[in-house]
Amino acid sequence: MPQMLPAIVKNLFSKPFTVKHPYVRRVPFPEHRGFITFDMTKCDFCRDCERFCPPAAIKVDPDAKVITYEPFRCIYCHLCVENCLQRAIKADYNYTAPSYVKEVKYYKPEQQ
Amino acid sequence: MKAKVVLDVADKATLIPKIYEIAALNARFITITCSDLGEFFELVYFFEKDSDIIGVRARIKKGESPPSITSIYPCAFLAENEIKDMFKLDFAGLNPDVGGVLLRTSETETLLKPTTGIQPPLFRATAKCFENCPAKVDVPRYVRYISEGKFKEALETILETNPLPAICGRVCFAPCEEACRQAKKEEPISIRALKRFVADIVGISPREVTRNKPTGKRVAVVGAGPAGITAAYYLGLLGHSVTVFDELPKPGGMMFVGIPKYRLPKDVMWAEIEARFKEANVEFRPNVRVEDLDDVFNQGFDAIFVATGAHKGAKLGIEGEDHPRVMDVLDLLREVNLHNKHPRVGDKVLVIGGGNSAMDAARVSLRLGAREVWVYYRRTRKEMPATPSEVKAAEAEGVKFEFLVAPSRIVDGREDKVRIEFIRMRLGAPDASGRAHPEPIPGSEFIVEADTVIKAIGQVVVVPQGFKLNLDKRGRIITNPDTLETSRPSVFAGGDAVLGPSSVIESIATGRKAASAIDKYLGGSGLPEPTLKLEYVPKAIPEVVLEMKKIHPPELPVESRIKSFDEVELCYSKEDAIKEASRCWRCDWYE
Amino acid sequence: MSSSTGQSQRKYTVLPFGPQHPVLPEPIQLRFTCDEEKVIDVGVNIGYVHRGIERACELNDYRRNVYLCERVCGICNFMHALCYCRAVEEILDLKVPDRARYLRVIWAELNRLESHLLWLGLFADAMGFESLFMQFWRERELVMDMQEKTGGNRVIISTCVVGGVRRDIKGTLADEMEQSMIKLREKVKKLEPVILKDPSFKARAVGKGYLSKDLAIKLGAVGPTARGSGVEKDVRMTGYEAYGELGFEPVVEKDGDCYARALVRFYEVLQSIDLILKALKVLKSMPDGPIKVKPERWPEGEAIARVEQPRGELFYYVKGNGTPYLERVKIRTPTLANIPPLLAMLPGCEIADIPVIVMSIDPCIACTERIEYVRRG
Repeated sequence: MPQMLPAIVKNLFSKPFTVKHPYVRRVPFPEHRGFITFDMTKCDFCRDCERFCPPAAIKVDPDAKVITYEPFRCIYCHLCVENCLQRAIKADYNYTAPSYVKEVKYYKPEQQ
Repeated sequence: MKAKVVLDVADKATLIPKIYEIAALNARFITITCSDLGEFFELVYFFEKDSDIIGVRARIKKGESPPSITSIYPCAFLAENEIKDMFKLDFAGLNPDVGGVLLRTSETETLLKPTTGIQPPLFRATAKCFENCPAKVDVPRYVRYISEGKFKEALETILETNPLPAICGRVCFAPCEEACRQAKKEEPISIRALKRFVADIVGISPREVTRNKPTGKRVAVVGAGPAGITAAYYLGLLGHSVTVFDELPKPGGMMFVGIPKYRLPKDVMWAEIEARFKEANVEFRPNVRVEDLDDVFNQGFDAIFVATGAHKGAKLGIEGEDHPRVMDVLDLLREVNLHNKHPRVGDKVLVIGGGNSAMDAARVSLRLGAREVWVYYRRTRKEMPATPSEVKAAEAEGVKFEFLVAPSRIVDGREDKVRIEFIRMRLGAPDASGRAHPEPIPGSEFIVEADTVIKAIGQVVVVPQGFKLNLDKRGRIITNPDTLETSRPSVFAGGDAVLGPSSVIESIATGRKAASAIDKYLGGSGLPEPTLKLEYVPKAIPEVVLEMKKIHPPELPVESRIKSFDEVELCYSKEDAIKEASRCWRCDWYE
Repeated sequence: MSSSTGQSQRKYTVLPFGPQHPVLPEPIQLRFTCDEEKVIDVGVNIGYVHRGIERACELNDYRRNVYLCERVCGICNFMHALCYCRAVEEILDLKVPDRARYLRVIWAELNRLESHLLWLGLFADAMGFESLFMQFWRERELVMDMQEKTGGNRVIISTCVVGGVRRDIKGTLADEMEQSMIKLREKVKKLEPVILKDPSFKARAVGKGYLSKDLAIKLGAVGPTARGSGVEKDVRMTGYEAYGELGFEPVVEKDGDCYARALVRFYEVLQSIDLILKALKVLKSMPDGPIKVKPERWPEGEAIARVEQPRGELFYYVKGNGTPYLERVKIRTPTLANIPPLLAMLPGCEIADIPVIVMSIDPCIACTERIEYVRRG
């Protein structure tokens, strides 16, 4: 205890180290692996992302041209982002918003 | 220093003495692994001594109980209890036995069974270039061989389905490049130029090939165009004795008389065709026009393949069409290619039509001395059926275009000039082919004068009456879509005569299909279906491949192109070809 | 180690410790047979965190398995991925590029820093020394930030793949990392007098949970548990990845009690920071190059890989059969090897010392594996 006193006194009189989450939002670093979105104008339905995804969170239907993405299964490893050759999957650095309903996202190409 | 790994083998009786030996060395116990191998379990014990791993492999039959090593190494009780719970393997003398506490289960068999057989991957993507090719050439494979420097193997791959790589590498309209996934960014892999590179660098001389044993059957092929040559080649390799008849003095068919020399030099074409004939031991009889198939059968042939093509130009259907200065593009090209003459076309030339033959007509006229060449087409540039690269090449040489015009009649002119009346069109509702149907705008006629008018609006199929085959209403031969057999037994047909005016590669596809069908008809087993073979193919690394830019095949400088009939597109250099082939995304990856 | 009844008049209490307990980070059940305040005998019951990872590894493509093996343990996740990748690379005879080897060392040492700082905090917390606990975790935030900047995530870094690594550290990022490590070293050094001289810390840790050197070797102790008893063994001495080139000497203490183990881990923190700085210097002078290579065939054969986790020696045994699906993956984590020494340390101590002794082997029960039949959905 006596050896710890200088540190305790210093902490008592300095700014708190923590932030008041959730009133103050902590912005992650730009290299953080956050949520992903699909850009349907560039996708050509090659199914590479489906073959790489470790938990099988992406399903591609090339005949109906629909991509099914389950954010609850996703582990945010960004293998799909790295390996999509048309660069059609965009990675954001923010965390996915928490939700209490298990949802599935469908992506269709925009109607021309 | 790398750690050494030593593995001994023991069985139930010698296990304990071996463990005593290892304990005498003061080795540390690591763990025990167990695998279920069907009839017995395989236990591997691992120990460590001075950074070296010592292992003991023991095979225990199912139902027996191996001795426990907890008397020597008490710390092994956790690992043995784990195996006892998982695999229901009773260790004799296990102390302490906490069995049943670690895992409770209601199943009675062992839980960790080996996975049964080979699990198929989720699916294997196919390459779009392969799917779009009419002849199903194994495109991803030969592009991969080129990127690795294996040019001979690349040529062998192409020759499995397409016997004319040097020709197709110059004239094919490349549906593979349209389907390439990189075409979205306007940079498809130059598959056609790579094919030409392979054919040129390996050489066009006849190779050593193995033919099947001679079957004793004779097949006649009528027409030495791409369909006929392909069928003759594959039938010859299958062991039949093939004879090809053609009415022209040299083989080639439409490739000979319909494609100009600056796109396909004739010596290259004949060298390749003769190499293929020699490899397949095919006899070629020129200057023979077959009028009646019974004559052919009477010469002792067992089957006939008809590939006479489409060599008659379509008519415009306007009055005054038989003016001497109005000619069909096929006649013009025949003069240049067959008789090696340079007919005079005058200063101003009008070409009517919008396909590849119209572009050929325009560019040939420039080389024959015309100063002004116009191409008149009744729809817009977007609907032109010519390959976009051909249109661009024609424009680069100075050809001018006029859209939404159609000829209505030929006003008479002097002997060496012609006056033709055009009417402006506008696009209406789409017709049967899906393109907008042009409608004439009344009252917008205008007259143009030119030295020569060339028609390039398509060809019609003409089959001699003596063949006695059923034709459809457009004059094309009716065939069974799977076996290409006609209404007459032992007579098969393919190429333009069946498809109508189409392309070289589509005719080659029908030739190979017919060869397989004829072989089966004559008692053989046919040719294998072209598919992508199942083997390990690594995927392209995105960071490397997306940085590379497309290398266009080299061409002659624009100013010197129209001065002669020399070939316009030149061959890749070896480094450029390997770089361009390395740019492929390997859509058929199977890792 | 089964319980034995003593004289017929005395009755012993059986005290169940766990699986839910405020001190324990993960569930394990220890059953103590106590005589008043002294512990006579111990029984153990493990297996509460089954996840079936070994079985699930067989149903997946061998490259997707990296992401599965990473999630065996949250704190030492990079070591699991590294060990698995090393085992598969040995089967495939792949040679990892130089840059990738040094990068792997950097991330492995970052993981070790994070784990040891976490443990030092939890150890202080087990004694009731909350301010030291909070202080250590505050310094740990520097390490977490570094992991997020270089790897992509605070906890599960996911940068190791079969054949190399996925991300590179160069330019301004390398400079930032160097500054951060130097700052961390100053801050940790300020806390050194607390560990070395503080009477309350020493009173609770010195002399408790004694493990002699012979018993440590015989019972198969690994990691700081063994090195605190004078056994000079560390897998990093074999020189895997870039450790051979960076030079490495293990930290060894002779006393064999909880205090010695705490000292070993504390000095390993300083040693890790030095290793990271050395590796960063070598990386800066290296020319730019590839950071991964592609395998040329599917794995066939068997291989073993060992890696020094923060808790000890991690052992992977991988067997492939020529298809992209592996036949058997066996994981032996260091905590599993440290449980027999724990059961030897505990008899003879007082009940109040139990949390301190159990924490001193750094239990990461999530790592200890059992196999369950898992159907892949």
